[in-house]
Amino acid sequence: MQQKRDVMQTIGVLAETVGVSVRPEWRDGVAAHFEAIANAADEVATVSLPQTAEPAWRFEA
Amino acid sequence: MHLDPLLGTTAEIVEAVRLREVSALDMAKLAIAAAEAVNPRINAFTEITAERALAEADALDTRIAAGEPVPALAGLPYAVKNLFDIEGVTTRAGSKVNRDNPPAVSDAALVARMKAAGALLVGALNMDEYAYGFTGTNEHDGDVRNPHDQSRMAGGSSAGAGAAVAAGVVPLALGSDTNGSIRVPASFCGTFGLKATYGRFSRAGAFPFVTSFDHVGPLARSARGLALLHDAIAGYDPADPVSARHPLMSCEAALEEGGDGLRIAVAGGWFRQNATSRALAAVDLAARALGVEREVELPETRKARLAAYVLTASEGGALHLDRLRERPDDFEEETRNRLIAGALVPGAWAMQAQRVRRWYREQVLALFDTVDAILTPTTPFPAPAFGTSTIEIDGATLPLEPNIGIYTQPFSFIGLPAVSVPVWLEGERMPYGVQIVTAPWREDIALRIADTLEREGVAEARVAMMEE
Repeated sequence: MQQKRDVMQTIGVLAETVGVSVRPEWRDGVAAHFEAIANAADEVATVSLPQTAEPAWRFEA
Repeated sequence: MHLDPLLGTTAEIVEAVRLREVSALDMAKLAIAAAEAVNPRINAFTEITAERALAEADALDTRIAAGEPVPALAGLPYAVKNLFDIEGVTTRAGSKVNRDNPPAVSDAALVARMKAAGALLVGALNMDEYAYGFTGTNEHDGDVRNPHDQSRMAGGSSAGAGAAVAAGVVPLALGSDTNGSIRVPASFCGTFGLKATYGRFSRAGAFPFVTSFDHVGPLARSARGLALLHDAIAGYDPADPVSARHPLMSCEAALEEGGDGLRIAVAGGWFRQNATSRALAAVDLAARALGVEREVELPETRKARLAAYVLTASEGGALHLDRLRERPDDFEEETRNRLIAGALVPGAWAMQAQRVRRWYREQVLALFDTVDAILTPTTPFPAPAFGTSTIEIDGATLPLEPNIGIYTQPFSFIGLPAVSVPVWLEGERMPYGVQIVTAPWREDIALRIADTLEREGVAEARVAMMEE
């Protein structure tokens, strides 16, 4: 419950920051997707890469 | 030539028009009549451009009669996913929001190249809203139904493209593929589909979704059709910022080399998990026909796919931010919620996903030092029935939609070429897609293997026999 409230608060702050409205009736749906992305990002973060690992997708001179 | 010219392959139709066994005008009329007859049952088309197709055909017949050179795709009817600009038609990209835009003032680059090659544009095709989906469902335009079983999904997001080709309306259609949206409908509808190397086909004039993942390309009833199309319209376009100047080779000519001598492996690990036994049986059938004995494992594919998921959400959300601010009520509920969530992704998450992307690409490219192609299932299961929300695999109940693209997403994520071929297993009413993945710019190898499987009778794009 605490976690859900935290997600709702996070979404509220971020949505205000980027200037989109999340109406009360949309919150559960947006929160479900945001949590799924957060869980995915957590797992992606476990891939251990050196600090120098290049993030650029394409680099052609 | 097939008794019904419209059911011929791409190569057969072009040859018949070249020899004047059939006129381009006849081909246009046949395709328009087929689209009008079939569309009420499958809902593949959102617009039938009859006037344009007839005009293009008439002009082509006049040029051929005058002795002018016959272009590469002469008299070939085709249709495009409705995210491609068509001059005079509003590009809706499956959305309600975009249909308030004015009509496109010019054709998308590939549509213009198709016209120059003598092809006849029959219409615009239905799709998932803003290409964000794998099911071919759409609240604004209605769901696309699978021609092989209209109670089932056509797959998305190039759903109308898969359905129109499988229904025999057009021998070829153009779609887009961000995470699998050409290959998934090809798998579910039983057609061939090509997602070429990132940068190979121009995306200019095609409405974007996730620009660093977005590809465009064809679905067809034969591997040779894909090769002909590639040779006619692939190549550099300065109007697409990621278009590549990499040298082009003739994929059609490459087909004559067959599949002998190619080092092919089946993907293990991730690509043998979360699939039905029948989807794996289709891969194994193709592997046996090709004499494949080797298996390779792609490292950390689960995490790579999750990185693709994070970036798709983030880039997609950022693309639509203005529309989410101004017209949120005009999105489908699920699309809006996904895009808003994506627009909120912190930069650090996206940056780590990008770093994993680069790393994963390097790991996979290293495999191509020792193999020329890798086989995987295209989708973990065949076309599901409408209303399906979960799928049973190996005793586990899995959510349907997030699992449709688990085998296609890892390759669009890193821009590799891939061809999906349709395989029909004995006793099955629906096709299974087998995916052939190769190193960058080696579409020729993937198409050689696809053509070999077709010649061996393992892969076949059947035209659906739809009951009245």
